[in-house]
Amino acid sequence: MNIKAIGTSIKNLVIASFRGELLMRLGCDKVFLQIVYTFMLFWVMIMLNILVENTLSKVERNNDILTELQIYHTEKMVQLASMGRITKTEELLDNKGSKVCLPKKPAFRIDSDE
Amino acid sequence: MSRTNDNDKEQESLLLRIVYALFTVMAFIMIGRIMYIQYCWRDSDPNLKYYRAKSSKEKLTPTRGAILAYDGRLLAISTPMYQVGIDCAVQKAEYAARDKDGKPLKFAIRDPKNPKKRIKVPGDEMERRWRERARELSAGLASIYGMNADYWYKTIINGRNEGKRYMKIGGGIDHETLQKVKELPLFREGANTGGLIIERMDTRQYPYGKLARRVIGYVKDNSRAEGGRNAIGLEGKFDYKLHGKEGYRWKRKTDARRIMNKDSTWAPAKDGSDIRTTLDIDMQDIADRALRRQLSEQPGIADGCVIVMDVKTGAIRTMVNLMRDSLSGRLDETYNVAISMTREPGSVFKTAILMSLLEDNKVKLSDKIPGNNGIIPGFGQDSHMKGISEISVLHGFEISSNYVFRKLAIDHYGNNPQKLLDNLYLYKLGEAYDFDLEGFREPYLPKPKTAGWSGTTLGSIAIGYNVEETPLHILTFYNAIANKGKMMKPYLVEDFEENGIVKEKRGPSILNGSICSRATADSLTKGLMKITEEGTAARRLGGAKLKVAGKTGTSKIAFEKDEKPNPRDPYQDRKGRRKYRGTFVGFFPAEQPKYSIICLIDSYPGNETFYGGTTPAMVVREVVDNIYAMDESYGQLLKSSGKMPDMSPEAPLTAKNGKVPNVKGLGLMDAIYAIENDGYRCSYSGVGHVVSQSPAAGSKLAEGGKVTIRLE
Repeated sequence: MNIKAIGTSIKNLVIASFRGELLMRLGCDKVFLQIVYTFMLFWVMIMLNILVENTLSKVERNNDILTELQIYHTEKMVQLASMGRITKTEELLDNKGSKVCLPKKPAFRIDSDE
Repeated sequence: MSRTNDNDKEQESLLLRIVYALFTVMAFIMIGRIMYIQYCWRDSDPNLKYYRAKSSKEKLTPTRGAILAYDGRLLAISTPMYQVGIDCAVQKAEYAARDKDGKPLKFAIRDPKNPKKRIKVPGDEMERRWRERARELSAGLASIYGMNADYWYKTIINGRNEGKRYMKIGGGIDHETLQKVKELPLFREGANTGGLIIERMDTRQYPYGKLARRVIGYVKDNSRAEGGRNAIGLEGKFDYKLHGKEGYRWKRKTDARRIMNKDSTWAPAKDGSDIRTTLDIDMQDIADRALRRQLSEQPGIADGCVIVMDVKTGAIRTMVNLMRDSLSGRLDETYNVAISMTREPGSVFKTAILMSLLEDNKVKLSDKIPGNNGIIPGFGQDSHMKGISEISVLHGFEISSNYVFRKLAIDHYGNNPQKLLDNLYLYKLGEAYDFDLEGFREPYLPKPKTAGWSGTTLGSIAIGYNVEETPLHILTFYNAIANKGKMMKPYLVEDFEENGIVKEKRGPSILNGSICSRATADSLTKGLMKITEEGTAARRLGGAKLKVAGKTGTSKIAFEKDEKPNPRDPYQDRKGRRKYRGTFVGFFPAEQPKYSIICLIDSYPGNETFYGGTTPAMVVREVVDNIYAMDESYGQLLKSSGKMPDMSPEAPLTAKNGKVPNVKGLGLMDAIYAIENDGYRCSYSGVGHVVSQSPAAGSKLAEGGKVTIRLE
């Protein structure tokens, strides 16, 4: 194959491409179904990728919401725990003018056999 | 024709060979590449970026484990705080921009009157509107952060004029406050228009404030950077358990947001373990308050501590350490007196001497010794013994006679002091065993036939001088007496947990299975009870709600060299002032001990004497009385004196009678119960108690009908 023949081939290739006959000339019409099938595979692959990305994006969003809720829950726990301190409770009762204070005697017990 | 076919075949053959050669070369390159990556590739490869997906590595930080009280209440937990800032110059340049004709650019925004419609507004007007909303924002900031609205407005507008891209607003806020901040005018428009900047900071929260600070410890956050971690308390000692393990993952950008790149390697962060401690936070609070009150009333006291221990297990329920700031006078947990401050214990040490004497069958409590007017050659006279010709060991213990204990020690161990010291080591009064906090000091016991040993050393040891002990050592010893000779190791960590599941159990352990016989423990208990009934602690603890057995101790504290002691007496300074340590240690209820307790105080140099039978005993009294009141096991047992008739509930009303029940005045739960029990459906609004209902009570309604109630 000389350079002239290569040049002619490239020229034919370009002309055929512009005419839209390239695939026909290469005889691809024989494997048209396979080409469609390949395209379909690519399409499915791209679709799946987009769906996976959407799902992952949703996961990230939900993770953020869960973290927010967890933080809110923890903060409430801390607030409740600090309110449960004996001296704090006494102080709050005192501020409210309550006469309730720490017990002076332990609670009565009821006989568990009955 | 055949020549053409041959040429074609030759050409095809050449093409195939080239393709084949190309594939072979590619295969070799790939194999070579795989080998290189497998065996030679290093993370530092400068070409790394070309092989990896365009992702960014995200560090996954673990959540620091929580510290829990013995009953599961939170003592320390990690939660983020937020620092809010504002980009004052947000959109400023855009609003100020002009087109080629010098006219302001127009911006499409939603029409405030009709949000579905978009209108175009010139930049000047946009800037005016921004500043208007900044004024509204300032009023909101004033209500959240304090200061007044004018201050905030002026600050924001000044920042905008100066083109500041970041201005900090107030201090750190919690998540709840952050939500309020996010809803403020301007800020609710987000970062691009409102300029809201939020920084998340990991912080450690202590719901009980500084209570038990020296035990729980303190860290700023979970980072191991300098300043974020402090090696005090459980936070410091068990940082390796609490911290957890960092992880990482690769994230890549998508149209929606950054998502995890599942094609890359990743390692999840492992959260730290929770620590369940033995602390009873209510008891800690009570002891803290009792000690704080006494120390507040007596400015001559420099520091004090209270420890409460569970007799059977050695679990420390309370450890209060208060130290007075010499400048401000404020009391704070700044030093762990309980485990780190060794001092001469004074008379509380006599119990150890008595145990040794009883165990070695040297004496019995009923034995009597001559009084000798309280004089032993080489020692000062014991003023308590003046005019007493004879005294029993028990009475000597009860009045805490220095003469009695010096005499007993010299008489029985004078020839072999090592025997006494061996016993003291057996009682674990001479070693620092493993403990759950850093800084547990080793006690000091002198050794016979060494430079530190003199003719008076044995007599001094007998009354708690020339030895140095931490409060925890003394308490552990008394706890063993309460536990009939079985010495439990004091501990603070019950277990390590993950999501509420115990991963590593620690719990109680024995230091010495039997430091004394049961009979000796009983004899000592008898003697200790006598002290609180008739002896040195009778006045403060005689009437305690639970019977206490214990010993008082008052010792002088030697001055350090830098404190300029009197050259002739190390127990006083050059102005003649003294420092005292007053101690009370014991257990309660005396007959069936549940807790052992020690309270001690150290004074500043002064002329006042601080006795173990006064302030420490008063603190112990308050703690004991409160524990009694809070523990229902000490409550009176109510027994039935008659037989209650069996309940025979009435058959519930049903819709069969067809009338709507009267639920006015009931709470929501009761109202729903009554309505649904009658076969109707319930619809409600409001909170509180039922104020109206429809249909009215008593009116007829078919089964399944709806009753609407309103609560206020």
